[in-house]
Amino acid sequence: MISLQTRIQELRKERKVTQSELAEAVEVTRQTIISLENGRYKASLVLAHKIAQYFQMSIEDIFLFNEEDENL
Amino acid sequence: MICMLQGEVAESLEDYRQQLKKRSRIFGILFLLGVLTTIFALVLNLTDWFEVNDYLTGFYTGFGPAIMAVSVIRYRTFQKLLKNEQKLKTEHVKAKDEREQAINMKASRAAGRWLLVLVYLVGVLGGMIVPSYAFLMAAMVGSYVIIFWAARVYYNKQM
Repeated sequence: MISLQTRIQELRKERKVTQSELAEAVEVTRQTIISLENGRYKASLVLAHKIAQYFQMSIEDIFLFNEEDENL
Repeated sequence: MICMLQGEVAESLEDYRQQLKKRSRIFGILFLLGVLTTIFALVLNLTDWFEVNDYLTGFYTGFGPAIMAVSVIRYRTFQKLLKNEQKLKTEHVKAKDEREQAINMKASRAAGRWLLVLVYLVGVLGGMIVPSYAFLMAAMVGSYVIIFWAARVYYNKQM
């Protein structure tokens, strides 16, 4: 099973943004945001970029690539 | 998901609206197909022009009206969407959603694999009773493999 840690929930709560608001901003369903926060779904590059733009951060600061096979 | 077999989803809402309008015309063709199937079933039932077993006659009699009903319902669903801006926007987001698309791809793959398994079982087991089932199985599996590789060659050039 795919498992990828993200800081989406942490950042969302810091900025008082709901899942629906974030979903609308990055043009996905709320269910996708939930799955991203649970680590059950891996975002595509485009979606990761949109989320990073929304939070005004870099992709690596939001999506944590800790697994050995995710790094060189 | 508005359609199990939907292809590429238009990027902008306006393009999606046009896409749905075009797709809703398919239901007109489906409705016509349902009408023709129903007429054919009536011909089978009321005349001796064709020698067909009762099961098949019953199948056509049910299938024709079912296609007509489904095409009417789907057409109305599309029309309701096209008239409601908010619902259209929600449906567009859902159709474009990458997770939804990934789920549909996985579901299609699973359905394809299991269909192959079932066709094989029907061919092997059914072929012991009716030999033509085995040939039909071979033809269906062979067609699947040919279409798969043809599609693979096509998309390999595209991407």
